[in-house]
Amino acid sequence: MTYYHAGACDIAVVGAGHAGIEAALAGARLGRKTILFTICLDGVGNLPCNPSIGGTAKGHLVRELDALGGQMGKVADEVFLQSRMLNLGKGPAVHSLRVQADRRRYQDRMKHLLELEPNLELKQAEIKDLVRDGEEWILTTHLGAQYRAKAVILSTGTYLKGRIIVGETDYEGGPDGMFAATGLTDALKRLGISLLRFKTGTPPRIKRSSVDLSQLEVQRGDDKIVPFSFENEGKHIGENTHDCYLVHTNAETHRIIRENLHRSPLYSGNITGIGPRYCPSIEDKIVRFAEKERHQLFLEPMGRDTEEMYLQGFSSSLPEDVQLKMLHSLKGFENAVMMRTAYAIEYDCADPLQLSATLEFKDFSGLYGAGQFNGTSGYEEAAVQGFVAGVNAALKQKGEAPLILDRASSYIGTLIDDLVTKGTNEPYRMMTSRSEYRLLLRQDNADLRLTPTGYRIGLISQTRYEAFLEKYRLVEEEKARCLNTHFSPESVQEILEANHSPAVRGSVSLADLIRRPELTYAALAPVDKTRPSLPDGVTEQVEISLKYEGYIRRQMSAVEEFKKLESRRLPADLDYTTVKGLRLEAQQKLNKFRPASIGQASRISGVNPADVTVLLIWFDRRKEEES
Amino acid sequence: MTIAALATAPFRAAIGVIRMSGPQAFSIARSVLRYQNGALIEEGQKRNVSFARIVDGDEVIDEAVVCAFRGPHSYTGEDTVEFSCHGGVYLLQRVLRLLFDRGARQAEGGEFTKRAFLNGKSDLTRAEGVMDLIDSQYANAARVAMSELDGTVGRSISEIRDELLGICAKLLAYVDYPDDEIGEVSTDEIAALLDSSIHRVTALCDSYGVGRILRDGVRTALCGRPNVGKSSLMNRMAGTDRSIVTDVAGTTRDTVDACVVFGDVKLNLTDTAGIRETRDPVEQIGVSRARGEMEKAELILCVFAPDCNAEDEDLAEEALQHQGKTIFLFNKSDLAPQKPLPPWADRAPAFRVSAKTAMGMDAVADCVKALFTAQGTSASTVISNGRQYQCLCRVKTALQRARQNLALTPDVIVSDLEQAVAAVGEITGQTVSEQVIHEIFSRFCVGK
Repeated sequence: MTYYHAGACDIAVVGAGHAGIEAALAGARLGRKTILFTICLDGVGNLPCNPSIGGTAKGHLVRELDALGGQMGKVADEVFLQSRMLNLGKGPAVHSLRVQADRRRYQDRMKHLLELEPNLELKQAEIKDLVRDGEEWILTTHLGAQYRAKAVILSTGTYLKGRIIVGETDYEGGPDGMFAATGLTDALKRLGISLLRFKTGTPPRIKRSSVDLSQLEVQRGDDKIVPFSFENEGKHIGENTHDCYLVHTNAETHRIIRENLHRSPLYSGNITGIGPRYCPSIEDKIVRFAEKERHQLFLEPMGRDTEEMYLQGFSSSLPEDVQLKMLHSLKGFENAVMMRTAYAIEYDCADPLQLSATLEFKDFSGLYGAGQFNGTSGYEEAAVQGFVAGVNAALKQKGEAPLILDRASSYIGTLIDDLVTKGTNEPYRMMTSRSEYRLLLRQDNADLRLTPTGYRIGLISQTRYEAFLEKYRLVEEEKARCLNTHFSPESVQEILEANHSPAVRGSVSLADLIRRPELTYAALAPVDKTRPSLPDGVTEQVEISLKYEGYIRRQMSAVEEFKKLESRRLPADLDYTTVKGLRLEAQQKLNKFRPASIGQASRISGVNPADVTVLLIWFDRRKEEES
Repeated sequence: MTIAALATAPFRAAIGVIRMSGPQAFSIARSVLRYQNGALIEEGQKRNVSFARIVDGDEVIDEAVVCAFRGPHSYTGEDTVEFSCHGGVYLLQRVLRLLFDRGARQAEGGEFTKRAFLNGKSDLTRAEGVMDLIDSQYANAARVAMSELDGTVGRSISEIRDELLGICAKLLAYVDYPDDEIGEVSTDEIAALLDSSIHRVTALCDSYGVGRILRDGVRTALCGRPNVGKSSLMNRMAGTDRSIVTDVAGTTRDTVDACVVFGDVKLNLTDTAGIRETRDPVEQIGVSRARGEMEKAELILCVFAPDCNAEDEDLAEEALQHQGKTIFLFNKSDLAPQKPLPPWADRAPAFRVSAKTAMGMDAVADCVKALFTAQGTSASTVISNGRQYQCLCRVKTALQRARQNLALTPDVIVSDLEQAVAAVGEITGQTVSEQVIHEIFSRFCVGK
């Protein structure tokens, strides 16, 4: 093939899924000349699995991304079909926003935004080769075009050596009928990057009109719609236009699956990739939880201009004829038409232990990974990594300090720390259970935690930053008022009785009343005569910070403890075999991973608390010797 | 830095051992030893035993058997010298001072073990167990330390941990997978689990009282009116076959008059002034001190003469008011073995004893044992390690907080539970997050 020089850029992003989009937008918006490559322009920003954005912990990620200046939340606000705040009643820390998105409109909107962005070129091309040339990288497309880039961000999703498996059939392919990317894997191997092989799957798509929806249980959206983006706070962003439906598997479905298990590639050994525990196929669920008589499935809309619906929970890699039988055994699905067959997909990704917290490869300056390429799963997980990689590529070129989010700052920080410190042996999904600072890292205060950072980087506008400052000024003012407003026992007697709250003896502050579990800020309005009219976002912060004050304070002190260990930086060239007292396993692990701090070292598997004590003593001794 | 310390207890004994460890151990030793034959240690030798005089200039202080260990062939992994001197607190202190004069410094508590740990000779949990083993001065405490080493405590703690982990996983699955049929975790269910866990943790925490007493001893006040025979009783307690008298010097509590092991329990005995109304200002001070001791004591031994009167009754009453456990001892009973005890005597364990003939002392010893070694201590788990105790207290606090705040939302309850599990993990060395997530996936069918 003849190669030709096609151009140069600051940042080249490979793959235009959710990670690639955020990476490219962040890079371009920070003034870097950016090219975003995609194997197919019609696959930009695809939602090849669930047509939904957000959910537990994932909703937190979207809001954090928005607080930093990312794109996902804003577009989700534009194209949602149904919106729900999950986990209401389980506490503010776990409230999670999830929307059903119009898949095509989401893609179109994102693609158009990329096209409109200055400094950004969106190009259809498969990157076949990647080589280093001094401080720069050279990317070669399948048609022989060569691009020079100062930084490369790999966000290849499930495309790398993608293989689709349906029953006894398997073929090379990417998600949703796309081509697989076939050349890049070998280029990465030549560089010496260690790769993993993961697997994931997706359920069938069903024709809406072929299902008797009257047989299913309807699930409606919330009456009060909360936007993802803090820019839309308090604004009316639209109505729920579509419903979801609940259906259950039954004894017949389970019988069909059991009788055909031998035809499943998972059990016949045709699939070797490691699948996620949290995304089990229906046959997996039936084998592992044999005692369960039925499993829940959700039928979700794919868009307003399509009859396709997504059957969540019915992910499978059984042969197509078996899938049809299973489908027809469901109540209301007797005549269901399957428009897309469920499939499993295997793909190559990088072992994330090779990355630093900036998502740059430790051994390859200017090379970054993001999204499923780094071993995660999920659009939201991908998007936040794309953002962090894009920002860091830009900041490094501008000679500025990198964006490193720690575990105490965000779910984003937790996700990245988990990835680069512990690695993963299955596609990594964010869950609220992964954060030890859950009560601080709420979706409602993502702006408080991260907007100043977004502003400092340069991705939050002056106007938005000022609005943010004003919001929290009001919060502080109202908190002070709640602490300083007092009531006599008589004046609150009635409202306490009405809310089954014990009577008070002496004067009581408004704040103390709000702290009672059975009372709320809103419920106290009738007695609170001097209450100013405030936006919901403000009163929500006031109420949560008062009600959970003790818990918040305790987690804050845990954060202080955490920061102490994080601030004990370990030299990059330390030979751990010279640290006496460390167990051999710990020495080897530490020499391999080269943690940035004792805090990070403490989270490496194979480094136990005794080893951490040794490191702490070593650290103190060294300080003594130096002084 | 080279460190030195007394390696045996500061009691009067046949021999006492001083240990010195560090880079200058050999040179300092050579500077205070004078040999007629042999030498401390030869080049290339791993260890050696020699006999030498310990001298301060020209003055011979003692004769000693000297063991030298060349690092890493020693407990600490460093060059180490152990001097087996003749016992006697004064003599040993003098040798130790001499070593300090020559450049060693006093070792901090546990520093030899810490060095052993740092030099890779011991891991942390073993090191902790060893330190307690050193602390334990007699059978009971040694048994507690042993149970720590072979993991009885660990097992009991993991049981609590497993229970908490189970409920954590259930709550988190409920929170992380709202679409799946996890089912609400009922407040009653959590309350029941919390109650049972709090109960178990409290029992372990309380056992620390026993564990601590086994190690540190019971603060004991010996009180009574003048001339009821307190001092002779103390001498008797110190002198029976079942006890060990220890030197006053060297104990940290200046008020303690004797340290005895009585009924397998270590008692830190204080003999107090006879309590009576008096105008003598000096005696008044003594009486008020005696009352202070009673107040602080964990065990009050109230001594009465057979001819007890209303003042004795007042004293008994006073003793019973205090926190400490009280035992009534009717001394000089050998003189009047048949005389009935006063009616108020049944308000505390009461014994007819005689300091002179040792009458009744065995029964008192059994009573002390019953009071201060928890029932079935030998079989059940006893916490004697301060760090473990601190962790367990945090577990307890977190659980109690969760119990108190059950009316709040699951997100905060689970954070208390995680804190409890994390504190338990500090004892067992496991982290929460991965464990909980593993539990979620192995126990619940979740995910799309």
